[in-house]
Amino acid sequence: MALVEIEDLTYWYPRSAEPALRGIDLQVDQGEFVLLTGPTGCGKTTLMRLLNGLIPHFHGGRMAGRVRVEGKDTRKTEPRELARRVGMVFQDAEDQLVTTTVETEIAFGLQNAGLPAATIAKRVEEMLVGLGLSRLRRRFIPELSGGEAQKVALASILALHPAVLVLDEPTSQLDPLSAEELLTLVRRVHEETGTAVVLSEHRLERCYHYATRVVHMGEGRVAFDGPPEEAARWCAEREGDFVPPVARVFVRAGWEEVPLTVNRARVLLRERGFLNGRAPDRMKGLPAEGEGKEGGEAARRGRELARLRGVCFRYPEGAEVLRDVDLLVNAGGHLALVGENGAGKSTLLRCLLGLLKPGRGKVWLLGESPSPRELHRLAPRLAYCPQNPSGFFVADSVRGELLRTLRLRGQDAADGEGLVEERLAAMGLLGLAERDPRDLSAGEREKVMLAAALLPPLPELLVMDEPTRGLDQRSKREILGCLRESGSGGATMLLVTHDVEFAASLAERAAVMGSGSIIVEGPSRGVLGDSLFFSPQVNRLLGDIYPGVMREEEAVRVLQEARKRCGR
Amino acid sequence: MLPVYREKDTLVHGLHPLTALLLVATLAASALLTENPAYCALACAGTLALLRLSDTWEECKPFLRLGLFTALLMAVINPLVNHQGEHVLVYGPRLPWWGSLDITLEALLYGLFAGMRVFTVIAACGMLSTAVSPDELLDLLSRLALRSSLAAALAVRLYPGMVADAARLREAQLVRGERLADGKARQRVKAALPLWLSLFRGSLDRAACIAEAMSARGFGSGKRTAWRSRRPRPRDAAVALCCVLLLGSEVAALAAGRGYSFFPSPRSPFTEWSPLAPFLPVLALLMILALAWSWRRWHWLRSRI
Repeated sequence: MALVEIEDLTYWYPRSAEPALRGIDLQVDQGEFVLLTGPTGCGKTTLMRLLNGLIPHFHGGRMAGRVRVEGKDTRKTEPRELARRVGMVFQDAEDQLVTTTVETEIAFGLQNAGLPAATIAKRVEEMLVGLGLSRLRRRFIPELSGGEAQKVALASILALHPAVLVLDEPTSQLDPLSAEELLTLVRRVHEETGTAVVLSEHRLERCYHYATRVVHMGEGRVAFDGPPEEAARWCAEREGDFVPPVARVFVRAGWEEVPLTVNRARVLLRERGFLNGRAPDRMKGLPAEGEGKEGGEAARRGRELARLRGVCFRYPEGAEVLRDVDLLVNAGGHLALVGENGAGKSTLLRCLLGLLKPGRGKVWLLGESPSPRELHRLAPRLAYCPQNPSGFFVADSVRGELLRTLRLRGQDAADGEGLVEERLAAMGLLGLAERDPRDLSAGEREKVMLAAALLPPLPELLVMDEPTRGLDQRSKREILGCLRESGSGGATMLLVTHDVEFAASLAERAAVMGSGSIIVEGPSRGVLGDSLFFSPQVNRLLGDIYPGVMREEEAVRVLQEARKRCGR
Repeated sequence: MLPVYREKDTLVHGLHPLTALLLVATLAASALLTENPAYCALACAGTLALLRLSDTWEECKPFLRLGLFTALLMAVINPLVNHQGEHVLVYGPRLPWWGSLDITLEALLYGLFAGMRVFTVIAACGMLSTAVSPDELLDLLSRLALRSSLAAALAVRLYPGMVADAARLREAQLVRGERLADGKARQRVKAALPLWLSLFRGSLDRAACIAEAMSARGFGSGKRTAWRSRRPRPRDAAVALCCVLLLGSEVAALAAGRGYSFFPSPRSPFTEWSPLAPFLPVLALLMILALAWSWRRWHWLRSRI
């Protein structure tokens, strides 16, 4: 008997005429690691909610078909019983932790399940030790880092000893290191305990190879269900956004084999005699070693937009967050700031925007020394997209949000309607114009924020804090296109990001921050290309032959050439 | 620093939640029950000293500011509405339906005394919020009212997030060009209102997400169990005894009719006391403070109680 059986399931949310899921047939067996892929809004979250009974017990709605967990119909099973068998970890730790300290959080579900006190105490201890959370035992939950909080959420679910662990984009709000750590932990749990895992994730390069099975969804249906290698080929040929970059470039280059990891890909290239330690001849149009390291020269000569000189900053209750930071952003020189969490990147942005006053040093923004009271004067020339779009939206509709931006910039309302329509149409948002921006998906919210920020006339400087956080590959691609277009229109971007693929695709220059200082700054091919962990996956694959390869289209050309040379 | 609980190694943090609750209630009740300003000042000084010794002074600053503001407000308002007392400091006009606006020394002193009472109560509440684990406290109270105690726990948990959301929203709107600090109060309120509404909306969304996560962990579909009960230790007995002494002596003084009145004219707060009367509350409070002080410096004592 399968752990979970879904038979011919169609589901409608309350007050919705269109079903969110249509005719789903799916089974999850003991010990499986199922990766759910698909674009935002395809029904992944709804499917996961069905597995542990949140649908229909919490969300209500109408169901046709059947969901059985260990043979029991979820409609007729008590939610607390389902909660013990199918544990679910959500996207944002902030929105799923209930109590104030780590150990009470782990105990919360066990208490709800009505377990005896001695069992609860034992399992809490087990989770604290097993997941390396002992030192956080009594920590106040709002003071945990994102990664720690998500580990606590995982511990609180694992404490219930579920037969199936369901994770709905658990790393979407985490930095790469914490994301890696969490996914490694999930894999460890899967391998050491045999718990079945159903994972939905956008960072496919980090987990595709863990999966024993991939289920790809589209428009509420299961579009593909099979082993990862077959799924990667199937997806790469149809919807290339939902496979790891390394698999995508191999399929696009026409290779029969589809490696899922950099290591496997390099073994493959070596077997074909392409990675034999000798650098092949330079390919036409591709940057060779060293080339591009002087790049961004034009940007260096551009007009100065923002400058920090010797900036130091310390929060009242903490250590020094910025230490003697010097940074220059010139017109045309898109700059990406990368670095670990807590390195001071967001604080640097807040100092640059005048939201924080540096303890020492000077800041110039668009020729002025910025301060919160005077920022309105810079509004027509400056745009800012914060990390969390809900901190941006105030109006009740997408159209209202764009009109509000124009009003704040001091533009005439009469011209506004036309400009807003034009912008919405250009970004494919006309269909969402009357929707509340807070109700949209992460990708749509990011696009609305950009649409507001990039209303004509384009701002001279666009400052973005983690613009790709929580986005799927398709949304990232759309946003990248929009930003490149604005870049050609004259806007300069300064972005803080953990997404090195995105940074390499957009920015000519990059800076790495660490413990409050700029460690290195320069052309992005040089800064991002010369590293193991700050470099894009394609650079890790081909960087030792073509150090300049940073973008997928470049990697595809190299692999096409390699295929030709190998006679395949 | 946000006024929330953080785990620390101090006497108050180490108390059983019931004892901690008794201590805070005793300090607040000492200020509220008495009419004698000396008793009230004792309770106030004791509360402030305990905040220092429990290392929660920084976290409690918002409470202390609120307490000080309320106390000053009471000190100002009381003489304007209370005109009893023999010593008139300022002769004011006589208003229809209101009466005389004379300001008396007694009313002013009583206002200060009432302010001190409120300040002490607010400071004690600050200690409860910052030095007593809300989870343990609410575990204790949940046997009486689970849902209310859980709602209170959630409020404590979500408060820092809401403060951070408010800051993010404000900063994003400032960069977009919103003039939140310009103009008269009415303009500022008008500019800030959409932000508050947005914050409220965000909080509702977050509440819905948390409700879903709670449901996913089986909340609300059966009887819950309690899992942890901290055993009372000698420190709890010592503090509880001091609390009983402190509160008991005050109740006894009240029952014996040893009250104090500011009107018609103030007297020394010590004249009404019998020679032994102040001894017990002072001793009780000093014992608590001595325990709290020794906890930080005397490992031997800390490890034995």
